[in-house]
Order: sequence, then structure tokens, then C-alpha cells
Amino acid sequence: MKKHTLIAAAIAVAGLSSNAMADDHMEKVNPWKQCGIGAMIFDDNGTAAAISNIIWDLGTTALSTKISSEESCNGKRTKVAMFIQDNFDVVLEQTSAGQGEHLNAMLEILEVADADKAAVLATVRGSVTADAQPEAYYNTLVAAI
Amino acid sequence: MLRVVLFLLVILNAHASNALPNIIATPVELAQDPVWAALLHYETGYLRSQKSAISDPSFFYSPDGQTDLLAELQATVSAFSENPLEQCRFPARSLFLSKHFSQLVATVCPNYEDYLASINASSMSLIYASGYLGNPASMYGHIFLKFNGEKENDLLDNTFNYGARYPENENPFRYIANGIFGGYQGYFANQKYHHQTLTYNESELRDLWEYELNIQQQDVELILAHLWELEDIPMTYYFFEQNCAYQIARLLEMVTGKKLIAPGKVWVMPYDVIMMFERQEAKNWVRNVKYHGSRQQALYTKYAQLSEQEKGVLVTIIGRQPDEVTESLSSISDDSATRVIDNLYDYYAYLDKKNEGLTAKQIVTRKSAMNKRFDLPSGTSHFRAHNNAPPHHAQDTALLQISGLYNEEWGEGVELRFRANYYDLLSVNAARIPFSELSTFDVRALYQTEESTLDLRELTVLRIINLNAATTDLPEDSGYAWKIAAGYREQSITKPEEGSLYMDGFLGKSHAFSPNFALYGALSSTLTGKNNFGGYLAIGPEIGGVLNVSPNYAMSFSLRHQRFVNAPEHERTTFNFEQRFFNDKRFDLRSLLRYDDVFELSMSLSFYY
Repeated sequence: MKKHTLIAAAIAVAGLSSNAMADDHMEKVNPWKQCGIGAMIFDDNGTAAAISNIIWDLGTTALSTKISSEESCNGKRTKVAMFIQDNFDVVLEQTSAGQGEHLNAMLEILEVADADKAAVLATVRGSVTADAQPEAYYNTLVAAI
Repeated sequence: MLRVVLFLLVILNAHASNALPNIIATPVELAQDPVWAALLHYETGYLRSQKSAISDPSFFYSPDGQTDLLAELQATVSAFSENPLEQCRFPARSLFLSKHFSQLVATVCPNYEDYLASINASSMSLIYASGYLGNPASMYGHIFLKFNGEKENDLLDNTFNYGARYPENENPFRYIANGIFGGYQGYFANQKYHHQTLTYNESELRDLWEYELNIQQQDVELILAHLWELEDIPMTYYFFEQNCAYQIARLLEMVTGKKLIAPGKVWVMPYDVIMMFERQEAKNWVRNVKYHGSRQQALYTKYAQLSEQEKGVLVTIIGRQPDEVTESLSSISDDSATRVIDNLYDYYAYLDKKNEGLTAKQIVTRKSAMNKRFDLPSGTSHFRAHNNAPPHHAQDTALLQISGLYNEEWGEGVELRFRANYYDLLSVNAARIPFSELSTFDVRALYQTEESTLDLRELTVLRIINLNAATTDLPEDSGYAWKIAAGYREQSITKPEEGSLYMDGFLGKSHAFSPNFALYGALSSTLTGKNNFGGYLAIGPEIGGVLNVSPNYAMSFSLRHQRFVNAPEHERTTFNFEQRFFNDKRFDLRSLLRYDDVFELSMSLSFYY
């Protein structure tokens, strides 16, 4: 299941990263519902061929143009949603500590200015708890920017 | 237009084109260039002439492209001149040809430019993932490429992997057979680095070592361009040769011009590629080595640095009810509390993978600790980084050994041994699983001096030992110590001429009293093809240990007592005590004392390559 999760995540990122941002639509996008992250993560739907332990996933982040999706799902917010979903345990641990490499990467995907990062993290840290789920965490993060 | 005409002249007059003043090299010369052969994945087999490893016709312009370098070069130039946009399909070929043909028409490739921009690489690293005994395909480690962005966070860098694709729910026997004998197709795949850290560091608890390579920007681009060409292009995958290590080495050979596949071996291993970078002039190609430890290693590193009081609090939290976490932490300072909680995160992350999930109590305890962490001041806890020796410090993997020995029963002898790979309990094992052994194709031949006879003493196909030694006192920080071995060997050291097929194994527990000392106790069993000693299946207790006294001296021992299941009145007691002297990648000196009804002592000189 975990492998499928990453495969699905890889496919999703592949489809999401090859085009320009669609900032106009971003504010309205819920990556979990409109871009199918939830379905890809939690459904063992076998959409991708299994690949050996050596490769792990289809991984076509920069190459693929084969996965079609809504243009609004191609943006940085969907990418950060995927990042949060995949790395949620570590992201939440680092959020509780207030800093960490994954948090830096997360803010970099969102193109948060260096001067604003500490404030964004402080807001998120003050708003989430250990019970947070990835989607709620994402909403908190987006609201903090 | 004039350029195109000149270009076509080159094709039409391939063998005479060096007369043209604005042509830097002739097609004949270029077709023999190692880079051109590498771009087409040409290989020379043991019994056949040069041929591309790629059979997909879409990869070639010429119908003879798979076997004729010149034909493919001419066809490529022709295609590029007729339609310059064809260069967008094969940008690496375009880069190569543009160095040699001044007439090549420059073209714009928006998709390819987007691809380069999204990767935005300023340098490249070779990443080595340590071996993983939980899956046969991962035992020998893994390597992949990481393309380092100029400014971005490491986790957002792009990586390229090579591996085999196989169907979901593949039969394990078919998986092994197809993997070894070429039943699968291999592909390069692109992924963000944070997926790799999730896979290796977090999920499989494997360490990563990053070798940042000293490669020019234009060479980084050549490799990226070629990886673009290889999207969805399959090559037959062979586990022991045309594997990840082979394909990555070939890519790097293309830009370094150095041999990166270890000579004298019919197999290619990830570790050997790392070793080749440390040899000869290739050493200059490594700029820096960085360590990215697994979650398990993070747990051990941090736990070793906790004070006794902090360790006590950590153990208390793990043992008590979740609602008592805050109370447990109240006895220590905020700084200590953050250290304990951060260590607790590593502990539960490790258990989550090791046990394939946490218990309900563990989940709630983790949440309670995390909520407490939210209340504590922001900032990471401070621990010293773990100083783990990188893989290129380890001993080489193929072994040739000569031993002089004395046996109480039959006197003096000389033993020759060859082990294809990989390492044993006493090897210099930097960056390998602690207290483990992975040996394949281990052959020993014995010449008895007095009898003037030559006997095959052992041909072990596979031997794996993993003591899984617990290194903390924390609950559940240990797996089973286990061993499995199979092949052919003498039934007793008293009669080397009498051998049989065998399977050996044990299952038990172990403890590491320090990073250099572990003991184990287990229930062992031995299955033999002949019953010269009273039975076919023997079982009984076994104890043993490994002690690395210093880098130059290590020892191991095992003591086993077994009875035959079908003949309990027959029993066997065996004892081994082995020592390794010197700390060198290429050689060592060993002594081995064995007891099996009689004593045998040997002194061995080992060469590794």
C-alpha cells in the first residue's frame, strides 16, 4: 500500500509540475478533492504498474507530460499538498519543534520569502496540534501565508 | 540553407568529408567516439560483436542503428538536417554532434528547456544507499544520481534511478528468476529527492551517502539530455550485471572518461562503483561526501547522547500510560524535555516501520508527547552528528584467500578460497549493516599434503547472517538474530573428501553491548543430504559473538551443540574462533581455530578486489 501511495504521489506530481503555475485558480483549489490526492493516496487502485524495490515508483517529476489533470492542479499549492501528504509524520514533528529541513522545503515550494518564513511557521505551529491531518494542516498553512 | 547543404555533403561523402574545412571531425571518426557509443548504449558481449543494449526501434533513425554506429550517426545527422526539431528528441546527440559539426542548425526545444529549467542543476551527486537484508533485490545496496539545484532545498532536488519494472503481485520465484536472467525491462525514472529520503531513510531504515561529483556543468547537462532521450526506453535488466550500478556507471563513464566498472568481475555491484571512484585518477572526481542517516541511526545517535536522567524519563514515558507523559517530563528542564521528545519521535518512527505500525497506546503516547512539544519553546534539540564511516572505507568485495592449515586427524594442508562477494562478520565493514554477513558463491578447495589429494571443501551459494543486535535498552529495539546458508560442503573436518548438500540456519536474539561488541544466542538447525553422522536434520542451541577490538583487530566465535531429530542419541558439538588482523581495503591476515571432533588451525592471507 505504501508503495502504491508513493507511485500515485509520483504520478500526481508528474502531472502537476510540468506546466506553468495557474495562480488565478489556486485560491479555489482543494488538492485533496479537486486534484484527487486523497483518492490516489488512500485507494489501492493499481493505476500504475508495480516497479521493483530498486525504482520504487514511476517517478516522472520533470519528464512526463502523459498525466492529464486540471490546470489548476498544476500549481505550487498542489505540489505542497503532495509534499505534506507524503512526508506528514516528519512535517508534523518538525512543526512541533518549530523548524526543520522539511519545513524549509515546504515553504520553498510555496515560494514564501525568507523574511516571512519564521512568521508563517509560528502561525502554523500555534494553530495545529498532534491530532492534525494532512488536509487540515495544508489549509492552516495556506491561510498563514 | 548553405549550412544544410554542407551538412548533407557530409553525409553523402562520409568517408571523404575530412577534406571539408569547416568540419571538425569525420563521421567515421565520430562513430568510433566512446561518447557516441555510450549515447547509443553499445556494448560488447563475450561472444558477440558490438551491439546496442536498446532494441526499441524508436530509439534509432537507421534500421541498422542497433548494430552499426556509423549508420546511426549518418541517419541522425540526416534527420537533424532535414528537420532541426528532431534535435529536441535527442538533445544529447545534438550536444555531441554540435561539438564536431559546425553546421548543426541550432533549434529551440521548449519542452526540453522546461525540463532543464525544472531540474535547474548546477552539480551532480552519486548517492549510495546501504544494503537492506529484507529484500533480495536490495541486499547489495543501490546507487542513483541526484541533480543539485543552485539554491533550492536538497529535498527538492531531482534524482534519477534505474531499475526493473515487474508486475504487481509477482510470484517470488519468478521475480528472482526474471531478475537474474533478464526477464524484466529496466528504465530510468525521475523523482524528487524527498521521495528517496522517505523510501530509504524512513521506510527501509537505510543510510544514504552522497558523493558530490566534480563534474563540469556542460557534462551535467549532457547526462540530463541523455536521460531525456531515455524516457520510457527499456533495456533488459539483469540483477548481477546490467543493473542500477552498471547503468549509472556507464552514464558517468561517458563524461569522466574513466572506467567505473570494476575490472576482473562478471558482476557489477553498487559498492564497486563507489570503490572505483576512490581508485586511480577517478578519485579527483569526488568533491565531497555527505551522510544522510536512517531514522534508526538517528535514534541510536541521539539516545547515546542522552543523560542517564533523560534516558530514564524516555523509558518511563514509553512504559507508562499516555496521559502521564506531561508528568514524566515535569522532572526535567525544557531543554532536556525537547531532547527526550525528539528521541521519542525517532523511536516511534523506527518501531512504526519495524513492526509495520504502532499500537493504539503508542500512537496516543506519541500524540501526547507531541502536544507537549508544541507547548515547549521552538527550536530543535542539539545532538552531535553521527560520525559514520563512508562506504569507500570498507574492504573490497571479491575475495581470494590462501591458507596453510593443520588438522589433528589428517595433518597439514593448503586451502584455496574464492568468494565472489560480499562481506562477512569480520570484514572491514564501513557503511554496512552492523554485525551481519552476506556471502555469495564461496568456494574452498583443500590440498592435503600427506595424502596428495585435492578436495572441494565447500561451495556455499548463499550465506546471510543478521544479528539485528539491540543497541539501546529501549523496549522492542531488537529483531531476531538469524542466519541462512545453503550449498555443498564437507560433512566433517575429519573427512574433507565426504561432502553433501546442506542448509544451515539459526533464529534467536542478540545484544550489542557497544558499537563494536555483540553476542547472540539462538536455536540452530542443519539439514544435510547424507546421514553419515546419524541423521539428516540436526537442531540445538548456538551462541556466538563478534568483537571489533580495534580497527586492526577483530574476532568472532560460535559454539553449537546439535542432536539429530531422527537419531537423538547422535550429537555434534562444533566450535569456531576466527581473528582478523590489519585494516586495509585490499588484504588482511586471518586465523581460524575449528573444533568438530578434532581441532584444526589455519592461517590465511586474504586479497580483496
